[in-house]
Amino acid sequence: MRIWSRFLYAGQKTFSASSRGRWAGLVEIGIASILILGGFVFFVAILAIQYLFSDSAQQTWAYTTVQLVIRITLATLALGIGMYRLFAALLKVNTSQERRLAMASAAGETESFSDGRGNEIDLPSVPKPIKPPVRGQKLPWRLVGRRRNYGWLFLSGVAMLASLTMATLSTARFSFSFRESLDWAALAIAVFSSAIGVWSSVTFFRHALRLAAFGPTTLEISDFPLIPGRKYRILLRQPGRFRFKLLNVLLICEEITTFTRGTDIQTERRTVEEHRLMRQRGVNVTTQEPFESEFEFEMPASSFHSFVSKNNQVQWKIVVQTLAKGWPQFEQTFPVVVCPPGASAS
Amino acid sequence: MAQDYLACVCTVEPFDCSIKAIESSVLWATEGKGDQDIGVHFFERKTFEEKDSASREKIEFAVATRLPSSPLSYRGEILKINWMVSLRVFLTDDSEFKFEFPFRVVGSPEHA
Repeated sequence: MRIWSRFLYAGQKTFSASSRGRWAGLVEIGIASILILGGFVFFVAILAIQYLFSDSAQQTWAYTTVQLVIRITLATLALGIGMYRLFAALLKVNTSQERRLAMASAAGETESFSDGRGNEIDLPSVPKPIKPPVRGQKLPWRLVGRRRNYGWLFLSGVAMLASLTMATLSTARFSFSFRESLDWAALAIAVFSSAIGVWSSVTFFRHALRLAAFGPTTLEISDFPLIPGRKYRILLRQPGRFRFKLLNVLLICEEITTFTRGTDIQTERRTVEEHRLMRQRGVNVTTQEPFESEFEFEMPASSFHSFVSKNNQVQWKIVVQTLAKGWPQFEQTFPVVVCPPGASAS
Repeated sequence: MAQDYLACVCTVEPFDCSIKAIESSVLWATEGKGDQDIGVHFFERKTFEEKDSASREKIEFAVATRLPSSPLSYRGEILKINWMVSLRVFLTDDSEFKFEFPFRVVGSPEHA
């Protein structure tokens, strides 16, 4: 794997500067994935055969304990190395120096709502920021975005392992049923679980690749919280391993209401304002040279402030949408708090 | 305007009945698709004895409070926030009447 990575990073003419990094990432994740899958299938096969032949005279595969231990060790090693390489590849892109700084700074922040200059503001019904901004590097504040969604990665990973286990076991069961009567139920289960296994594997690796390709977006802002009518500077930083077709930065206001219908509690969201803050087309992004853009925007004077009550909310957020060739749209959300104009510190 | 002083005089004149109590409040209430939320900013209750002659006469009283910085009045798509002075009059025969006087709260000019 290292040889492949070195080859891809070493400036071979076959690849452009940007695509080399991207291909290296793909190869790293691909090889790690093969190791995980191979190790897992090998492991399950050992257990299945051991189980199926546990009281058979034709115990050939797991004949001695030593052989069994060696095989299990090999399978575990492949699985472990693969998982380590996969997470290392993901972390390489997902944990930037800036993110670590943000996390370290966030730990020291109090929950009190500050006007950005250390003054407490008495603003009933205006929510305190869930994740207060932290000190930025170029601009005073750095917005802390919503955590990236690893739910599908986790779910598809579990589904992949479960279905492949089921497929391996039922295939083995069907294979050994040749000696007696054919076990068609085992064959049906094998086909069904293999189909789920293929689907969940594709989903898993697609999400893993996407997380590896799109680095964490960072947004720094000149002042916080936002106040209608004022101007702000924003610095956007986007690392990764891809060439994006389109990058959009939007300021969005949503109304969120919760209501009871019979015994159900339902929630409705409606976007009531959407302002485009920045748009950029066709830029190469690498882990070494992230995309950076600094721009200014004015908070619309007529904007309503952030609001929260038991069943109703007005939420503001900055959304960075990235559209890259061959990838589904990727979004990173940064909740912001908008205060009413003229709100003064107590 | 937010943070300004709100002062008003309310007059309640009963006809052929006597008042047991009057509650006055300054509050905001949401309106729209979601379940209603209410935030009471000011509340005062005046009670009258049944034998008290004042309970059958015209009653005048003031409602005065400094408005908060937020929430401001809002008219969104699925959510509205309305401010109002609300009066609830309780009669001695256990009936009650509610009167609402809406007003708007807007943001004060920046002095930061």
